[in-house]
Amino acid sequence: MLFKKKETVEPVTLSFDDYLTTVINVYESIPSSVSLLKPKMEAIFSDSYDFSERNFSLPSGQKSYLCYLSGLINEELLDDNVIKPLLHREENIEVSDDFENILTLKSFQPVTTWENTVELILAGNVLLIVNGVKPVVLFLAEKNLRNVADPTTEYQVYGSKLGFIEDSRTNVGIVRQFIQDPRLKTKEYQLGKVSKTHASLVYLEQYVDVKTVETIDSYLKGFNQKHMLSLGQLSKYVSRHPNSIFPQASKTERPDHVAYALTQGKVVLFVDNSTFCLLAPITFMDMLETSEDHSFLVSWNLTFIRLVRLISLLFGSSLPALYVALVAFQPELIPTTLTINVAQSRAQIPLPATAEAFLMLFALDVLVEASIRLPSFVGQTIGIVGGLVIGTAAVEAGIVSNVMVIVIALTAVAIFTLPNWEFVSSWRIVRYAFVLSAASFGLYGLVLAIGFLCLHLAKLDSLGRSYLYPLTPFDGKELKNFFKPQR
Amino acid sequence: MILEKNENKFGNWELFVFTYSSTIVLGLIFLPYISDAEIRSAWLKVMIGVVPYILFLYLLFKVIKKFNQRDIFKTFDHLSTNWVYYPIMFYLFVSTLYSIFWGIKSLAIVIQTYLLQNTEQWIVMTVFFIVLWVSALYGITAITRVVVLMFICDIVVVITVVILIFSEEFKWINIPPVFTVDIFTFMKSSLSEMTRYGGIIALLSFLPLLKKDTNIFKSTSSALLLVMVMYTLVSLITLGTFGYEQTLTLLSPLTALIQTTYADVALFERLDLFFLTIWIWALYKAAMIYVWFAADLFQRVIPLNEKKEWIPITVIVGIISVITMITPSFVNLKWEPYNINMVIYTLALPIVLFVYMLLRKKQDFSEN
Repeated sequence: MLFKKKETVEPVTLSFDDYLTTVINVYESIPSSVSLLKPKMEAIFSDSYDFSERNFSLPSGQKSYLCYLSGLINEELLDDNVIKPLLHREENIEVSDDFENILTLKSFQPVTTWENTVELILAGNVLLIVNGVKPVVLFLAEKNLRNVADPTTEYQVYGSKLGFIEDSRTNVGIVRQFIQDPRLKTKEYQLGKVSKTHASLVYLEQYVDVKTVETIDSYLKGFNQKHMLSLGQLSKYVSRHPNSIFPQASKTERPDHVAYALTQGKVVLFVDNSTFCLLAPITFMDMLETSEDHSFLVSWNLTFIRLVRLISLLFGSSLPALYVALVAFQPELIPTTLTINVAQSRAQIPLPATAEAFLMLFALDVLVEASIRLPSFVGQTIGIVGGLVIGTAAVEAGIVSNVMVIVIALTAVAIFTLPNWEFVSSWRIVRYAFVLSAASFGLYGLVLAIGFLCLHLAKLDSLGRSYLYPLTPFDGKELKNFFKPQR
Repeated sequence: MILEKNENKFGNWELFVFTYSSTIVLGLIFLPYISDAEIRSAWLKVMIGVVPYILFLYLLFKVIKKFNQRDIFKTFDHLSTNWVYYPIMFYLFVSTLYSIFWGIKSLAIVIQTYLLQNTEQWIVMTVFFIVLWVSALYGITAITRVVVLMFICDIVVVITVVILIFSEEFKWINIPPVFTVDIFTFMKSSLSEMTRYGGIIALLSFLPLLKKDTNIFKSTSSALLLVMVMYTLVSLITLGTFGYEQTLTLLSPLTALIQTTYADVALFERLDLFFLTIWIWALYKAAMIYVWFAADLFQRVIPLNEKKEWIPITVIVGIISVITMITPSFVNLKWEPYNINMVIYTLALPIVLFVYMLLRKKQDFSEN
């Protein structure tokens, strides 16, 4: 049939439990015999070159088997604290409790289920079985962690020079150094059916809204996706408006920022394998502040810097659109001498103001994107070459006017005064929308676009908190506190 | 910042700004002298015109207090029969559409006069209707928040208008009241100024969304008085600057007034267009409020579940857009029928209903 609905076949993906029962066929409980257990483990970890096994017999004649994933465990500890003591044991081992008198390990535990056993091996532990004795898991995991170091992306002049690392448990410990209070509460979760990523929720009791903790707790407990590999994924998951271009949670790699956020009543989410953490709920005004702002010795500096950021945001997002509206539609609005100057600078330009604006904005974003991921020395070169291209060369070639270059340069510099990169990216998109509105309907289009944007921001909330708080719902005290904090 | 609680219910400030924003729309740009029966002392008329609306608010407050119920329509539905309730709701709905159309038609004329002279009406209006439709779908919480956020623009207008008193063109000799007409003509003339406060009707749907401890009468009456002060200032300044005869010929006296100012040191030389952008925001806010109000009236007659709330909004915006498109671009707006309907719809009818409800309560009390 012509209009027959195409049938879509959902890809069959097994959960971890399903995989064990259907593919490996592990219905029964874990056997206490090496000859039964070993083939199962080999089947589970088939085609994994890092899966290591050792077979040996004890002096008493009992067959033993241990397996693990090399690279995740401390093999030296395994030799010294497990294998050597076992090889020196002459009596028979009857029950798993006997291991307490043999092994010189901090901890181990008898296995319970197949799922749990495999999970523990994947976490970097060792499975040990001695014939006739219930298998045990030996906790010998050694994660590949780097030392705590400087934050690499969030630079600041004042404040501590300490950044988070890829381990969420270590990061929670770092936060505890900043807030030594028993009210600092932590909860842990395992996210992703396949990735099994460890996540930690941290909050400061009595500061945080209980509802916020309950909401995010229920979100995390209900996480049923297969993978949890990035903070962005988690951010979208906990956001009520994931299709909005504005972030409803913020990222930071600075413990001092986290400590400050906790005292503001926010919750913090750490995820393994990420050096950043997620802060929520956040507001528009939060995106204009950094923890470093409070390092100023003179409070007026804070007021000034935050006003500068707010004004820069307005300039950075609307200046190109305003230029297009004024030049293409309402030149009578600007002073006559300026109009003449603009007209003179545009006299030899073949492109209309709108195309000129789009071209320059695109060139700017290409430059920014190109220089971000390059090594610093190449990045600098790109910056200089790009600056020359979109600056002097483009003007001299008569492609763009020098007024346009000034507008774009001011726009670029202004928007980067915002401390949050994610937020900056959002406003970059807004900038294009504004230019498009101004190019279509002049000042009228720009005004409608700004009005609609305000409405969109007013609609947003982060974990139930209005995005525009304290502007709306209006809270004068908080607003004053934002620009001039109390002593 | 410590987390704020109960954000979804509105308080005194939101009520104040909502009342102000829903009321001060057309009056700001078209006052004074927009009806057919004009007299010299327009500023006196706008001061007198607010009095019946203060009475409206007082009676509304009394009804709420007596019935301990902020949903006036619910109370009215409870006290009246279907054949009274539904026709009245239908009349309110149609009148709301009429006033939205009137506001948007005014916008089209102003835009085509000052901003987009060479663009056709359907293009100018299509973009506005699309934005309005999507905006109305955002719901009353977002609308109220954005109204509060944009109140800063209204403050800018207030300051600008106050500054204009000190301009060189302003002549006090034009200001003193001149009574060259009889009281009947004066009252008839005041009728048109009175309707400039008609936007207050949208409060009837907004009140049920307020926090319990909100001081309704204080917030609404102070907002209305601020509107009155604004209208009086605008009327005084235009009269003082242009005089009676010249003001009568102006499409938008305040815009013309701002055109007289010249900011030779600022980025914007002509402040009138800058001021117009603020007025577009004012009309955009009011249009959102009215579409939401009309949708609320629609749902009181035809209840819909939450997922179908887009239907009344689409119907309302659709009807108004069709009517706007089929009327000519530059039409000489006949204000009289509009003004008469506004007085009935926003003042006479609600006051009659309030009095009826109060009498019913009194009757029930004496029967019990």
